[in-house]
Amino acid sequence: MSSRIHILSPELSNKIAAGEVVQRPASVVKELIENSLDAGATRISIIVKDAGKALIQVVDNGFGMSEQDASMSFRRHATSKINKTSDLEEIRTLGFRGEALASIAAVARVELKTRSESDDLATFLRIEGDEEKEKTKSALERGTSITVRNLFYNTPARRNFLKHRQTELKNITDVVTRAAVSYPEVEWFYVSDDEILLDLKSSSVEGRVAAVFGKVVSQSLIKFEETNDLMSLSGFLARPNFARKSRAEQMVFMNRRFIFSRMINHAVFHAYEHLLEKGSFPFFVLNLTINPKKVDVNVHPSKMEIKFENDSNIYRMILSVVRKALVDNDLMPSVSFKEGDVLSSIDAKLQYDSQGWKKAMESQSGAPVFPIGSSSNHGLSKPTVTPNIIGLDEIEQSQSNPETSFPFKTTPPSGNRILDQRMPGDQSASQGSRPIWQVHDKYIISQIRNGLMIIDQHVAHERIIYERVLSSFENSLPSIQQLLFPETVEVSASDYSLVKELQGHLERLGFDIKLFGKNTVVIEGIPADVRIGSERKILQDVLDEFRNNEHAGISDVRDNLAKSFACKAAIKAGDKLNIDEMVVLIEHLFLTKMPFVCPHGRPVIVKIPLEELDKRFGRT
Amino acid sequence: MKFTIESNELQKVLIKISGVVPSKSTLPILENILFTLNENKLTLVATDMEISMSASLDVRGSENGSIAVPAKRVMDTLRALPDAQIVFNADTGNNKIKMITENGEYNLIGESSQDYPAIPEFKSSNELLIESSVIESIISKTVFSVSTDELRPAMTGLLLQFKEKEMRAVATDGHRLVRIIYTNLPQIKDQKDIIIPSKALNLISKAIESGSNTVSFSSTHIKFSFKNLTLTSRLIEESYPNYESVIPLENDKKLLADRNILLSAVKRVSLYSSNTTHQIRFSMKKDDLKIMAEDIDFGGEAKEKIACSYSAENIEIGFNAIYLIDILSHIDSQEVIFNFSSSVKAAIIKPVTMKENEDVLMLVMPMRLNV
Repeated sequence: MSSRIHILSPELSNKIAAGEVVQRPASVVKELIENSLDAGATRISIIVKDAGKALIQVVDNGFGMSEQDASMSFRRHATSKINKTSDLEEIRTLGFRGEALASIAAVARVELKTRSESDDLATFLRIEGDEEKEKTKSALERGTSITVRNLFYNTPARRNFLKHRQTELKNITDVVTRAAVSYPEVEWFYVSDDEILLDLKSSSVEGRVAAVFGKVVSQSLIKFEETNDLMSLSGFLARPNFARKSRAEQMVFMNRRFIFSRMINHAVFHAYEHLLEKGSFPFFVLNLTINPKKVDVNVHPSKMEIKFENDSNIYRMILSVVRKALVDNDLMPSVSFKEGDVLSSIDAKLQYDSQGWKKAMESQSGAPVFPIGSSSNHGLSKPTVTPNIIGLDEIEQSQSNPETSFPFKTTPPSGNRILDQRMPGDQSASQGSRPIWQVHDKYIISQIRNGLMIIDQHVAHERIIYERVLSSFENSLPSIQQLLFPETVEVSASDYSLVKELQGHLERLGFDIKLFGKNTVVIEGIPADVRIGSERKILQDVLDEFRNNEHAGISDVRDNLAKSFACKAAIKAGDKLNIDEMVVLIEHLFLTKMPFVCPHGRPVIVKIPLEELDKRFGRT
Repeated sequence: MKFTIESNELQKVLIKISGVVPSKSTLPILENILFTLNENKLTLVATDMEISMSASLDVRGSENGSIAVPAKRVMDTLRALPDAQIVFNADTGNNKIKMITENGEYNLIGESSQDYPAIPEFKSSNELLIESSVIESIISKTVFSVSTDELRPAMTGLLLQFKEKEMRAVATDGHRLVRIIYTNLPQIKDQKDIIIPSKALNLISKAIESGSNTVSFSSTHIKFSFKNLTLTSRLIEESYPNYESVIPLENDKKLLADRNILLSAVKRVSLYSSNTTHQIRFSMKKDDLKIMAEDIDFGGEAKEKIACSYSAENIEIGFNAIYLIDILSHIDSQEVIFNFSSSVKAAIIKPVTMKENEDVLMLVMPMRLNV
């Protein structure tokens, strides 16, 4: 009777293992780069051909290997990175499983050239299908060069499953980019089919982010750093107006290893909360440094997933650090005009000289209308938006007498420097001198120290009410103005049950509502800041909006109610405001935690810097 | 049409009626004032189709006629002129108007009087004879609490109710209410309630002259006739909310205080209230009233203690300071009485001394305190 069960041949088992470790050319690149980094390389070159299918070559200037080590390195479960079981608890290198080279060698033709500091000559190895085909000596600088050719030549199924060339190349590029961001001190050189994709000199983290993602993105970044006993957290957040429509550009590194964690991403998204419009995602780079004992990276051979000892602590820390970083920064988008939009001064002069003003104006697309667009969203059509880290302490009261006109009250709360100074509410101040105007009953324009600020009155008010409502949910009852004539409202059956369900919350909003049965509710009191007479309409609107939001997936009842109420109770575009109302509005706006974005993620304030105006008028 | 007049005399009358002229109208002709000359009598008419005013004055006329004159232009001109004699000369054929002073000549284009809408005539069913001072007092004490909410048109006017020999004037915006009862009036024939738009009242209070006046009204219109001026207004044909039912009768906690002291204290304290809610609170103990306000958003609080007479149990009640200030400044008695029942029920405020045949009651809804 012959035995049916037998041990697999090493070749076969390696191929099977390779299936896990080497899934695509990018996996090879990742494993090789990690080896180079573990070997302390300061310069790493990656050369690929045909998206890695034909050739992947990684050259580094790391420790290198002796002849013996070189041969050993291709054995399965051979590694220099860990020794004993306890090492597994505290992994400080990127690799440790001892699988990569063996797995790669099982599915490709591999050549290795390496020289350690102590050797005179480099070792050259050619390995094919797990066998050493050639072993000679050759010359090489200190370091290692590994060439992987004809990946998956012996596993046609896997080869056929590779995606399109562009996709595979993008995967490789992603791997290299991530490593480059995580290791800014290392020089990177990345070539695909003779085209240089990256050539990065050693630099600071900021420099690297700028080099990799471009200047525009890097200028919009908010840097943050925070350390506690559990871990230290640093990184960059993009201002909300740089949010992307895809989740692609989020990078999380844990002890410099690129990881993917839904939990962490969720924490960051949550911190951005209403700063973003629906369906857009913030760009961020997050570096977690954490005691290796507190995490387990040995979850999957690709080591992208990790397990934390205490998920919820990490979640909370990330949430609060990111939120703080966002709140502490001026998120006011400012507007500058596209190069081509600005009158080039020479051109302008010529036109003034020869044809006079009128022509010059006409050449500017008809009328001198400023192409001010809303800042965030949608591919940024006309204006380019550059963020500005300037506190709002720069709101000027008046231009004429800056010295004497500073009776600003200083408000104590929160460390937000935006709040440090605010508009004086002094009614006796001469009104004409206060630089605030309302335009089209829709926007408020105010002079600030270095330019002007445009506020959308509706969303500004919305933000104020939203925050007030949220805080009244948490704290005490709001002021309720009792009504002389209780308003009897007949509602639909479904609205009636909704009111019933929300009654407690509505009361916290400031609605004193009694249920009368038969789909009739009686409003006996309304929030003190609701305009007289609109109680019936506001209740109905809030209910409708609440429903809409529910459909849109806002699940938190209070949040939803606060948003619905804020949206409906706020002054609208088209409402005329007098000077005092505008001053109050601005004052309150800057008391909110997030004056720059409305609860739905639309910008509240847009700033036009003086330089921009100067440029516009050819005053450069 | 041609006449001569002193500029300030014309201006005086124009100011009274020009308040009717709508600043923006779908009917551009309404931005004019109709000038009609009959011998030495010049009649001026302005209307916004709801309210019409007409006034007449003596001039030295030389050529009868009628023309619609742009209100703003002519008002601006008169304002800018020193006291001077004006010769007003209009060619009703081509609507060209010429105003000539000693030194200047001002030409403007008018519109044909044919296009100007006629003042509505109505058949009055009632007529009252009222002293100007009474009209003024009714208006000044009530109009401040008329609602501006277009959604509830009934409350945007002043309710006049006639019963036997008494007349009630009521105004409310749903947060406060004023009711004045006048007794011992001559019997009125048709005892219907009418609601007068607040704009008409404001115009009357500006234009009124001393003397005794006729007020006549039907169910659709009201007409105030003064010596040289009449105002005709359409009435608000809506049903007024049942205000009597919301005036509490069981308010047993009585507070007596000096009106002026109280008013100025409320004004001072309210400076420290939140500028969105304007909430202040009254805290009452035996013969002791404390008025407090705090502004949570911006920090800041204020307290004042006021001597008063109060003997019921301790109570705390919140108000919108603006409502209180309005009410207290429209009462003309040395002292006022507050009647409270609880911190969520209406408070009643009355003057201590009242004129004969006049009963004034004001009411304000509290703000529920955030405790």
